[in-house]
Amino acid sequence: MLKPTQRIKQRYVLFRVIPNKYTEEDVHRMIYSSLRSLYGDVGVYPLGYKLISFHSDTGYGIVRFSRKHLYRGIAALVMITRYQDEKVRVRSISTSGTLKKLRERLNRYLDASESNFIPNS
Amino acid sequence: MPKYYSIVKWGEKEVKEKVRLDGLYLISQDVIPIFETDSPRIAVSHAKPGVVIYLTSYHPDLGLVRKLVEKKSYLLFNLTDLLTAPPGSKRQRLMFNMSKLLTLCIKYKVNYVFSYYTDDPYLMRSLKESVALLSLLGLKEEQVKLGFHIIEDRLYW
Repeated sequence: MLKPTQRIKQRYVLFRVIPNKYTEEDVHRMIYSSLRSLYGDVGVYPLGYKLISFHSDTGYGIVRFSRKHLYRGIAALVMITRYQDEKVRVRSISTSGTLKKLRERLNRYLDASESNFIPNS
Repeated sequence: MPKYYSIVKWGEKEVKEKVRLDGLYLISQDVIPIFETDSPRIAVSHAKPGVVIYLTSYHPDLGLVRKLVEKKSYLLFNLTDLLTAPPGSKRQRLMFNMSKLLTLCIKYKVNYVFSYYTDDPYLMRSLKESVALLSLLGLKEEQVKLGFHIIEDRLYW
């Protein structure tokens, strides 16, 4: 069994896709293709990338990266400029070590826009 | 708290309407004129105190770097070039050149300026995102912040 100090630490990134007309599959494709074009197959696996959730109505989503390679993950999000010949911007909003905190922050953002979306809950 | 700036390809009127975008204060290209060239040799001949030089090729030229230090000019790194470069060998070469030129700038203490020199808001990023982006070129957070802040001195000329 792994000691708590030996486990892989992760960070969750709250992001927003502008414009918000894409599905979860589209967003996964655009992030993954950006990661692959920047780092290649060998460079992607240490990042520990996973799309946790995405809500197409609001354009907000949460993605997970390993703590060690967080900046590389965010850089891949930042590098997305086009998808299917249309301008796209993926804006990283906030980073947290726990999903709970990030969902609280997301709710605060959404309260401003009078929506009650809470992903995966 | 220090302010961070980005020079944009907008007129003064548009900049006055927006003022800030993603936490970066915007500066119109009309306020600080930028000398744009592809050749390091032409850039050397235009190096004067306070001039902001945008070398589009990012050729890591030691002669240019020494001249910029001597004349106290500024060297602009347009981060939109990184975002719009086509993936593959062109982006690879651009990143290599930028990284080498930045290493020279840091070593010889050239005033390097980071900006999103564009008129398209889709191609502008926040300071935090820029820190992540420039970490790919081997820069630390403080070095990136300095690059976005240093143009403040030029504003009060």
